[in-house]
Amino acid sequence: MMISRKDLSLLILIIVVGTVVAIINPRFLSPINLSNTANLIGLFGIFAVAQAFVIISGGIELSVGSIIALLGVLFVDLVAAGTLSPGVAFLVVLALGCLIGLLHGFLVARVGLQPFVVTLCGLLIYRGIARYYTEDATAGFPFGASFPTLEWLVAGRLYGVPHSLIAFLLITVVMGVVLHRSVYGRHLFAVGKSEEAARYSGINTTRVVISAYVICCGLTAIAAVFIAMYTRSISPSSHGNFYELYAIAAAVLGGCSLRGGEGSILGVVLGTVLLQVLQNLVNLLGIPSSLNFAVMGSVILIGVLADQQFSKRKVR
Amino acid sequence: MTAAGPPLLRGTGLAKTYGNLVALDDTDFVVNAGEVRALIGSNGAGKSTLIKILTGAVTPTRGSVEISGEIAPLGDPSEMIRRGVACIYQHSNLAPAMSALDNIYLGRQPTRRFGFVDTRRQRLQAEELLAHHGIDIDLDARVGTLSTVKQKEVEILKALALEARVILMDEPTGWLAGADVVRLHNTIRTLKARGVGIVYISHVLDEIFAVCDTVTIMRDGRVVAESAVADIDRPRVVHLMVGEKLARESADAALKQRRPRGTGAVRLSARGLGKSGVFADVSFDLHAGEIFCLTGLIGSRRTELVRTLFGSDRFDTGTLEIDGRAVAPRTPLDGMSLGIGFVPEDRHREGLMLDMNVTENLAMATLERHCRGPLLSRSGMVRAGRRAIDDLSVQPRDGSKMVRLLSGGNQQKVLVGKWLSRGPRILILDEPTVGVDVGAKAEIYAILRREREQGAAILIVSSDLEEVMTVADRIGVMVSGRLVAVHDAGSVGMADIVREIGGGSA
Ligand SMILES: Nc1ncnc2c1ncn2[C@@H]1O[C@H](COP(=O)(O)OP(=O)(O)OP(=O)(O)O)[C@@H](O)[C@H]1O
Ligand SMILES: [Mg+2]
Repeated sequence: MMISRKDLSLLILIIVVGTVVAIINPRFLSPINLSNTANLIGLFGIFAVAQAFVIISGGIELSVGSIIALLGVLFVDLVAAGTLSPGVAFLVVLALGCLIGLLHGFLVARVGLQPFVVTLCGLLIYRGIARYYTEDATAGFPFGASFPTLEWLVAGRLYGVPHSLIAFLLITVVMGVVLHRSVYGRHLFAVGKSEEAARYSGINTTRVVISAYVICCGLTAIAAVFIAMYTRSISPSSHGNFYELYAIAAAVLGGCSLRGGEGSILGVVLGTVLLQVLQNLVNLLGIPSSLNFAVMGSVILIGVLADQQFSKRKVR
Repeated sequence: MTAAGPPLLRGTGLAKTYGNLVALDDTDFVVNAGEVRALIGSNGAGKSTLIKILTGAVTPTRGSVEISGEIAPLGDPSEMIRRGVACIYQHSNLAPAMSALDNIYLGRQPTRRFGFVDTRRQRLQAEELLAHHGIDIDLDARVGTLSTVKQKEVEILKALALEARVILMDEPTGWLAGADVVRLHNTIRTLKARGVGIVYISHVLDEIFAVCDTVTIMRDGRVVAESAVADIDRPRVVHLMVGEKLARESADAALKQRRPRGTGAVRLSARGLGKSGVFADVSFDLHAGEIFCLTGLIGSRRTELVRTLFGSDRFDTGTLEIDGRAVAPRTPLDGMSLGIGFVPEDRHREGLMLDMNVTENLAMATLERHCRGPLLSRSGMVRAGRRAIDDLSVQPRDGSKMVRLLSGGNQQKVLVGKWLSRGPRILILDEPTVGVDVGAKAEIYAILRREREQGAAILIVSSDLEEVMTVADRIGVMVSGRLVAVHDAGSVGMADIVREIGGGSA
């Protein structure tokens, strides 16, 4: 895969920011910090890649955070109560995620509702259900309960590399091939660029759009399990709040256009990395954590502005 | 016509380069008051680029523009409008849901106190304009409901309301039918008599000889000749436009190549097709190895008819058989799996991905052929793309160029190439050569004939009678949603067709 100029400049930016932070606070490069950051990159990266599929199709998925809360609560509850074995519970959660995606895709592509509206309603509905399901109590594992295999699988480390990161990389490679090297990927870009022209080229646009939402919500379900096992206790009213915005931010930083039809997996990965490095920077440099969002927002704005200036100069 | 004082509009030494592509090279250009100047040249010659520099939409790399002797600032559209340069683009810039009146004054309505629109003054001014220029239009009609030629007239009025002294028209007759072209030409003559300077771009040479006084011929970004229209003839113009690569068409050769009913095998057979309120009772057979042209006025429902054959719309009565099997395609995908290829009329909305490159567009309808296992083979796509680019002589010969940046005619070639690459057994083309230059038209015809020799059944919708008489083996005439006549092309003259097209109204 060729690395585009856009991705390259993002990579350089990450290296520059990383170097500056490392110089100011050497703790940035400590094994513990690196491993923690890697874990967060894995967790957030999975659903950022997921979001990219919907954005490229020309839509948006706002219910990511609520899905993570609902499916997380469900997973923990099913496993903790011993109703289902972790493996089966995982499959149930994955299936539910895909089902949600199917529903969103259907409402968008078949019924013709706007993606923003559909998924905004999703955001409210799933959050509500999650809170009702636990009666607003925190869901968690009973004291002393342990599921060694499950925990090792999703929260373990291999030579210090968190499994979440490994899972993320695997998913990225597979999804990268799907997006950039398969016919389906071409179709997805085409639908995002111009749905009408895609239809006239014999592309089943309805199916392409629906599948984008299924992929998105399915991957989000996987992320939900990883995140649930990372936090271990889930308060349904705040778990996963704003995560959709992290995902959209990473995708946009990585070169996805909200108008659809543009973006690359590598870009989204780099976008996720940059966001997490920035988070880390806020912590390590002693910037008040209340400024967290402000820093992220500013960086995204600057990135998008710089990119626009670049592309403008190219057209002139 | 001799103008006293400086010309209305003068461009000197204008040049525009995009990267290392020279779109326009040291061009001088003059328009006088009361002059209709034709601007012609093959696809990508730089005509639109020149126009866009004059409207301020594009900033030239070098050169200057004077209006009535005054140097004008470059790359500033609103300033150009203020100084009286208006442009009518090929694709309409009107708001379809608003009335003609509102469109004419869009953005600068005369206002009363508190910013209320002064509708009475607006109407009075508009009526004055209409009377002054002898144009007839219903000011209250919604623009979307007006015919294409009336929409053009609304755009012209909009320009006149701005007190435009120069009107630039980039392929204004692209989607107009015969009678409407005449109407537009009459409007142009009235404007000319009032001292407006007009620049007229078209690929239809007959129009140049009908309405223009002077002609500027461009090739590869340069002006290669300027002349009074009276002093030049058609073969000379074609020669200057396409250079040594002579247009291969001659009427005799075309005649000899005619093959009515092809091999005789019926590929597609329509019986009593109808769609309520649109067209009715259409029956015809399309044979393998023939080119069947459907002609008629704009609005005679030819597009609507062929869309139902492909599946992008549905018919509600009658039967359609393909290779002897009754079918009812419901989506373009259905049409394609029946072996139909479809070049739609609206290349920007339905035909092309403007933000993808040429190679990707050419491969869009044949992606499954470029697969190795589950993966796409880029090299296969590029190879196929290069072949199509050569076949159709798309300019520039660069598959990685974004389609949006191609000249209009070259975009059309890419669209045709996309479907030819499928090698469809039935190929339907809706106005396939709008905006395509004479040389490339001949190439497209040659390619269609080659497909025909290989047994494809080809159905062309065309309003360009010259084209119909050149390529058709058989000609169908549609009038108001009915197929009124079908002729063997060899046994009918252009005059007969013109009479039939007029139908009841003639
Ligand atoms: N924004 C752009 N970036 C790069 N190349 C461009 C751009 N705009 C135009 N070109 C190129 O400049 C050349 C001249 O284009 P132009 O649109 O002026 O041709 P034209 O004479 O109007 O042709 P046509 O008859 O097909 O409309 C073409 O090769 C085109 O690809
Ligand atoms: Mg042009």
